[in-house]
Amino acid sequence: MKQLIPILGLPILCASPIAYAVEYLNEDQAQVALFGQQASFTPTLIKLNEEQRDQIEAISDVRQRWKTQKAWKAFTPEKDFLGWVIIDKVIGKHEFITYATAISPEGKVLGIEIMDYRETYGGEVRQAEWRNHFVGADKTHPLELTEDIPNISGATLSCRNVTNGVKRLLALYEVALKP
Amino acid sequence: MTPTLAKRMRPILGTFVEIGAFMHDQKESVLNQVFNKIECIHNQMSFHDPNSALSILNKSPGKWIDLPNETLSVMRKAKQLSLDSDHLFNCTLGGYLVTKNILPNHFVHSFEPSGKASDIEIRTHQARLTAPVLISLDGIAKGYAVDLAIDIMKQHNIVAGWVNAGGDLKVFGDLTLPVSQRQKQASLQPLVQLNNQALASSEVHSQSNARFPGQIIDNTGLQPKPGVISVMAKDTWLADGLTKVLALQPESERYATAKRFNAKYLSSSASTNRTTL
Repeated sequence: MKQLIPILGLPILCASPIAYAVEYLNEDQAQVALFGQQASFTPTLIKLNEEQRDQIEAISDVRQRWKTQKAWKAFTPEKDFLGWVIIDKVIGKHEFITYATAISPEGKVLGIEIMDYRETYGGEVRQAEWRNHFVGADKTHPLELTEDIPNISGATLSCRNVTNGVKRLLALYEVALKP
Repeated sequence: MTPTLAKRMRPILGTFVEIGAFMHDQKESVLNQVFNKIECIHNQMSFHDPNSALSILNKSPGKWIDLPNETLSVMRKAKQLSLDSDHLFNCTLGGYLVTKNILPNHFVHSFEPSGKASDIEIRTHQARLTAPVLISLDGIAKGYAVDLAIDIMKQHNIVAGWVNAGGDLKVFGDLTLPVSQRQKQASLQPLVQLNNQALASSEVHSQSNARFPGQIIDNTGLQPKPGVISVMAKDTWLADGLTKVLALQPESERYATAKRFNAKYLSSSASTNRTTL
């Protein structure tokens, strides 16, 4: 039986329109997470005309909302082409997710990293302002979290929005990136 | 040097998996290993994949089948939990779920809708189904994957951290993690603070839908009362499995049942309590 470390103060409950928001990676960090520290990146803005956007929808069954898609080409130190990093957003009923996908020169998904994740439920949410998240045994070096963000348990959320987003990006590869 | 926190989230297991790791050196390779382990466990025990280790067993009633150690370990745990819970937890309901089109049918043989723990025999490196039942390990495999992921983090000298696989999570080291509970009716409620413990939640709902996949049923195919069941335990597989057991019990019996397994049932109204295990 493990006794929890006692924490001073009860959580304060307050109404908040943002129930949950976490930033995992910025653009630079996402590039490194997907292609490693050694890779170099060249920015490239993918512009899509109406016809290309229709083609993407026809292939993937998912509508291409954006006319431009932010991307980078990744290279080895020897300047060999490794693939693309494409940044994309998906919007669900309550979820707003920015993610980065690495796509190989042959059009295979090499990796997916969530960059920014939000769940919003309007004014009905009660959010705890948790105090002293991380309490170290050695009080001189406690582990501290800079943000006030709880983890979430409960009803398991499907990642289908992101899966469909990636499906759309693979169609975008076919239409606009494939050599 | 104070360790720094690295957090990553990826869409795997049909949901979102988050890793938080306090590390002295930020090593992507360690985080990749942790994600890969979770995915590997998922692939072994996938009912959906017709070529997974589990599917090969399901397709071969009566035969001893070589299985990976992790799959055998989960099957032993599933079998024991079935016996200890009087079959409220039952991993032999795959056939029923197939007939309801909740799980895919890639079987040429005829199968039973459900069975019992005694229909599964396990020996070193192998298992055998003594009746034509279909095993579904969805009830505890995700929790087990979280447990193994935490073991890898410890082996790589990660000071403290957590893994949250779609709401099944475990925390280790010198930290306390606040957890909220997501409820189907679009809300989040503060639930508990975790310290060296695991927590799992399952939602009981009338039918599966795209946003919230998964389903809990009892042996007769009846549905329990809708709601979110959260259980805190030492290991995630047990917390995960117990959510299914408690979902099929009346509210009044859940606390005692959880206690019998050295676990704790958290009703959502216990949101602001400081809970000890």
